[in-house]
Amino acid sequence: MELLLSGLKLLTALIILPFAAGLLFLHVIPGEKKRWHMIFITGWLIDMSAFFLISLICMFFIKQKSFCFCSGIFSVTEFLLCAAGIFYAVKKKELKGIFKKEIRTEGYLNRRNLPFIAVFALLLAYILYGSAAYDFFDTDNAYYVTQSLIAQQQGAMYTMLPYTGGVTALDYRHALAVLPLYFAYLADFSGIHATILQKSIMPFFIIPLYFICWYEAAAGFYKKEEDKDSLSIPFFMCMMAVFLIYGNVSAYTAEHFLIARTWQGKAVFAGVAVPLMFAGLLKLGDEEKNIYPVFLLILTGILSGMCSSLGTILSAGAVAGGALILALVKKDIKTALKGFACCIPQLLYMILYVML
Amino acid sequence: MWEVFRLNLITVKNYAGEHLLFILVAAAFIYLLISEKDKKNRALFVYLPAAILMISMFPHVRMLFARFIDEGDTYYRVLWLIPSGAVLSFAAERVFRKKKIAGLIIMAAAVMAAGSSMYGSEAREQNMISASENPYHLPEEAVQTARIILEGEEGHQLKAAVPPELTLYLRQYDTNIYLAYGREVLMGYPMENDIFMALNVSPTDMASLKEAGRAKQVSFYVVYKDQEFKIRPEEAGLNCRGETERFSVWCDEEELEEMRAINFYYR
Repeated sequence: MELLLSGLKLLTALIILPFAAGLLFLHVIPGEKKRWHMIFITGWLIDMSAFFLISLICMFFIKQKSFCFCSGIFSVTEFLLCAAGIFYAVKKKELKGIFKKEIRTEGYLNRRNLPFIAVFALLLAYILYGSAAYDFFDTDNAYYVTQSLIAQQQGAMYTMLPYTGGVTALDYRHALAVLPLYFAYLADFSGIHATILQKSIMPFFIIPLYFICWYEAAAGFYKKEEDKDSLSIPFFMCMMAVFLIYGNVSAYTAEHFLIARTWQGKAVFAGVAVPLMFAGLLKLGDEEKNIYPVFLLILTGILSGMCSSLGTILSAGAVAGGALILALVKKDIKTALKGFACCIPQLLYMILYVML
Repeated sequence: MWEVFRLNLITVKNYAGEHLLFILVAAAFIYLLISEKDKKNRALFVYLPAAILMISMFPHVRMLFARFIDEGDTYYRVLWLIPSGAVLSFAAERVFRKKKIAGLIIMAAAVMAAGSSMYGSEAREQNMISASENPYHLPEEAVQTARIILEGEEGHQLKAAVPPELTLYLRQYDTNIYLAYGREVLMGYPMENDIFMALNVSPTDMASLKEAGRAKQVSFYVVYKDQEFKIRPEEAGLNCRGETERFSVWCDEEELEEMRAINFYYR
């Protein structure tokens, strides 16, 4: 019974509240069909950005039990964003619309697709089974997982030593990567042990999210293709699943990190932030006049900063470089300017990093 | 300069490993370079990866990376920006557009042959992977040891000196267990840590370990059951709290009594 309650609480904090927050941006997300996955991703990124701000403020300004404050303030924020999203959708009379069958599936499930979708589902099930059934030896878990557990059990945000225990001064620079504290928040909210949450449950969220983000990138890639058919994207997704399983050619590849260390910031950067950057850049490269790509890239930049300090610089480089190349190829300076504007959060992060 | 460039080449070679998967990716990249017509797709999946690879080869970029981001061996993470899986998958889809099912089978077989599975025999040989024994994904013995240490000791922290292999796991189970030494000592200079030397030198003198431990507020000691002892734990006045398959947990009851009352640990 307790397990069921914890599961429901986790579902609420991780899926339902972010989805409702995404409803706030229904009119910004492009496409006549408001796809559920983009509503969820937008809402989740907004919640992550809010968590980033709240956790930094609590970490820098509250001296005792800062995590308890952070957790409380962020819970309230999540509920407020959720309420705002639902209120907005009801006011614009869009709420019923997003539940319509055509919009949910985009007429996507048909006889031709079924074999590919079945293969993809099997591959995904295999990957998730592997994550649940196997331990991957990695000594970095003694740092990242323990930091989350310290936040949950001791209420301290990066002010206790993970390897031995005991109090330490806040390392301001490395404290900017707050993803372990987000997992601690989820653990605290749902009552699940932070280690169990990260190692046994988070792969079931992050790995499907990896595929959803690449699905969105593929949708952008195939948008204008004249000779594409409805099997292009399913084929692509099956290939990506095979590549993820067989990408362990060295201990350095992103695929190795995503499976062996799914819950660490570097893996979330490589698995979630990188495909979102490509999805955003593909949308930026479209002719449509829409603010959404800028929005998506800014939020992805903030997520990259949350994942690791390295992620900030890499994401800024990729987005700025990608926007510049897009501008050169399409001979349109506005694309480059939009791309550079998306790197403002990373610039602020780096200024903060250097100042601290 | 050339030395750094050579290091960059070694980084790429190590990233690609000893398998042929990235040769497939390179072939896919060349195919997209020739056949991709759409401008934005070319910009992002042909020109951008090429630019990232070329820029990362510049020695100055690596030197800036080492200066401002990380001095250690983490430069390979720049290569995560190259979407190798996506490039391969897009090229494969285009080549096999007319015969998708056959194409998927052929390409999947190619990737399986050229790559290396996370769950395969190679990963097992390198001891990277093992069956998980509990939802914490920690060795079961480490969890049992932690439970023995914490039994009856709710509401306060306690400090333990444990063999090196357990230091990675105990605090992932419960952060109320403080450690006399942890991974940072093992990565640095363990010979300078007196508790480490007292515990891990054979034959072990538990009396001098207890004395060194008391100076650092240590109240629990975990030793191997088959360890050689100069002075045994029970002779040193320690109380056995429990045993697992390979370890036995001993407690300095007087120190624990004191620390329960104070519950403050200086480093």
